Amino acid sequence: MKNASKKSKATRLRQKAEELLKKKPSKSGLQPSETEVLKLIHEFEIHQIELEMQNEELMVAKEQTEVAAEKYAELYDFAPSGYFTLSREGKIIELNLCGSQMLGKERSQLINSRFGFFVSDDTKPIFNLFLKKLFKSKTRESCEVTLLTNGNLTEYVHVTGIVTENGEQCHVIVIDITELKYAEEELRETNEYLMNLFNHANAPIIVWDTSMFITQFNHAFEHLSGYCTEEVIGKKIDILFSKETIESSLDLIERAISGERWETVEIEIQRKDGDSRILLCNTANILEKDNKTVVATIAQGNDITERKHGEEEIQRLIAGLEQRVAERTAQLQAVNKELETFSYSVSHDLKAPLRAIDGFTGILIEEYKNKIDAEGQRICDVIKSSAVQMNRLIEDLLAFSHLNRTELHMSTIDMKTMANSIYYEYSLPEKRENISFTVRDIPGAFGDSSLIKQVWSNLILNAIKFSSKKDHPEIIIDYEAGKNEIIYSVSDNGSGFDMQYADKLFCVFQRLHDSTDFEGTGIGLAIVNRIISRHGGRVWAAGEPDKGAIFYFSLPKHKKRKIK
Amino acid sequence: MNEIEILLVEDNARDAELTVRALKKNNLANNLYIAKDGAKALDFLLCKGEYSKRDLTNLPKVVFLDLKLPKVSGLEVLKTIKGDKRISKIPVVVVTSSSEEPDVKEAYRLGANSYVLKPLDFEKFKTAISKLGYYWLVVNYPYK
Repeated sequence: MKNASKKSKATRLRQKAEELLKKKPSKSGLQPSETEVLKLIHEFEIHQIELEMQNEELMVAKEQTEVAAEKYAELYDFAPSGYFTLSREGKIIELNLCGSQMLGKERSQLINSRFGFFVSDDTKPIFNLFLKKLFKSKTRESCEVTLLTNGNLTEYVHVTGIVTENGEQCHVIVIDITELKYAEEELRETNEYLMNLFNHANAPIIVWDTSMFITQFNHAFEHLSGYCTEEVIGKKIDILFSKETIESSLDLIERAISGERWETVEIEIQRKDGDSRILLCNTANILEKDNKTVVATIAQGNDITERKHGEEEIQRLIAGLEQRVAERTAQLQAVNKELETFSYSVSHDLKAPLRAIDGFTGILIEEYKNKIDAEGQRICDVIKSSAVQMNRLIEDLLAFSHLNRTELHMSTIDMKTMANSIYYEYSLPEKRENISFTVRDIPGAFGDSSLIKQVWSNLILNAIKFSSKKDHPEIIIDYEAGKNEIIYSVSDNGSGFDMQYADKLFCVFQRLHDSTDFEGTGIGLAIVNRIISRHGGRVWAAGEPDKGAIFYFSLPKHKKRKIK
Repeated sequence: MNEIEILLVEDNARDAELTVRALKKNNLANNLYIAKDGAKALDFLLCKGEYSKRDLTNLPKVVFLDLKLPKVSGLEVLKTIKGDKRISKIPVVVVTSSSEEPDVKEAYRLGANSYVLKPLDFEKFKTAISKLGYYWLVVNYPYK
């Protein structure tokens, strides 16, 4: 096909050439010589060959041009961007395949349509303005619009245009930026989400750059500091600190910028109104791509002012309390010291005259025997026994006051064995024959064994003493387990007591019985009371005259014993 | 003045009298001197003040020392005696009515040779004192 057309083209050219030759006047009427003719023919032949060669070259060039044109057409058509040639009015004069796909119609259907027809209503003004500016400025212009294509799918496009040389048309490149737009949108949404999170977080958050300028400041921080964001953004962070703390605070900030991460740093913020708040902060550094260079520091705080004040208050209270305890201890120590001096004096000064009374009465009896009658002798005995009685009172009183001063030496005590051995130690065998003494299976205790022994002796001796006038004295030692304590009891069927005097039982020198009936100084139960209260327990009693009495004492359950 | 065998340091005249009586019964009170306070006791032993004419080498065989004394207390007297090489070898017997632990502890710490409680009962008192006198004047062999 190509060769045929090539031939006909050549024929046409020949005819044209002949005609042109006819019109040309002949140069001379001279008949050329044979040699000349031959030469001429030779010339022509060369010429013809030259022409043919030229023609051949032209044909190749043409073919090359066609190939290039085809290539261009392919590039034009299959380019991923839309190429449009638009008229001044925006009519589509030419477009590529991608362009037609963008608009969702056949290329032929689109020729002469207005490009603006496919632009969404809201971006139409943008496009119109773009077109206007393009033809006016004759320079490259661009805009972003939304295209409405078939099925009302929107397509975000970037449009770049340039006016052609004649100034009547423009070439427009349309690039689909939908994906980019969506990514942008997503980024914007993420950003918005983060900003919301940042702004509405309960914790005050602040961001500063490496020059210590504040770059972000959330609502909580506004609330905390009394500054609004506009007042602090772009300001040096200094404005948040008081004169007193600025140096140390800036030092901390610098350390954060140099890469140190705060875990729990306390920093004092001075509010706009001058008040100060204490923040417990942690930080995170925002780094460059190299993952090393700090770009900014984000600090999140926790307002611990109240807690801090609370702590201070507690510290103050503790200090006050300690002071009071120290004062009280000093007072107690002074009282103890006085008591010591007192009992020292008692043991010395009170005993000396007693010894004199006893001693000189003794001398009187011894050396003046003959001059004293029986009544005188009896009186001397009364004096002597009174002195002895008073001495016992003094000893008991001293023992009682000792109880407060001696330290407790705690250990585990086998209460059952202790109660039994005391009974056997303090009762005479012939008396025991008559007494029914029972120790139930009482549990052990934790206490000062020599003091607890005094408790048992006092109570058991009392029981023996006050039941001694019965025909069949009965003493029972029992216990009861309470929640946090063990209650021990000693009961007897002796003379008992009237419950209305129960509260007097445990007081020093209080006696409910005539000393001629039951002898004693009246200090035993006071000692029991003192010992038990020093162990953290209680004592009490119940009784009825002539029916008997029951004495209780409790001791706290001890952890050590539980483990055992 | 004969050689003093017993220095009784006692401010209470009644106690002193009872002590002397108890010793006399056993004929142990012939060479006894009573100092009524701690200062006097030390002056006597160290031959100072009113006792400057005494011979310092003439040491009593025993000192019966009460603890509660005017001026210089019994424990201070004890401390001075036991801290002074010239007189530290004299046996010192603390005779007191105090059974307070700090007193007992301190007396022994300072070097008391014995610690005796004054019994209240006169019979027991007499027995105790005469035993003490007998022991320190007769039984005990002193370091001279």
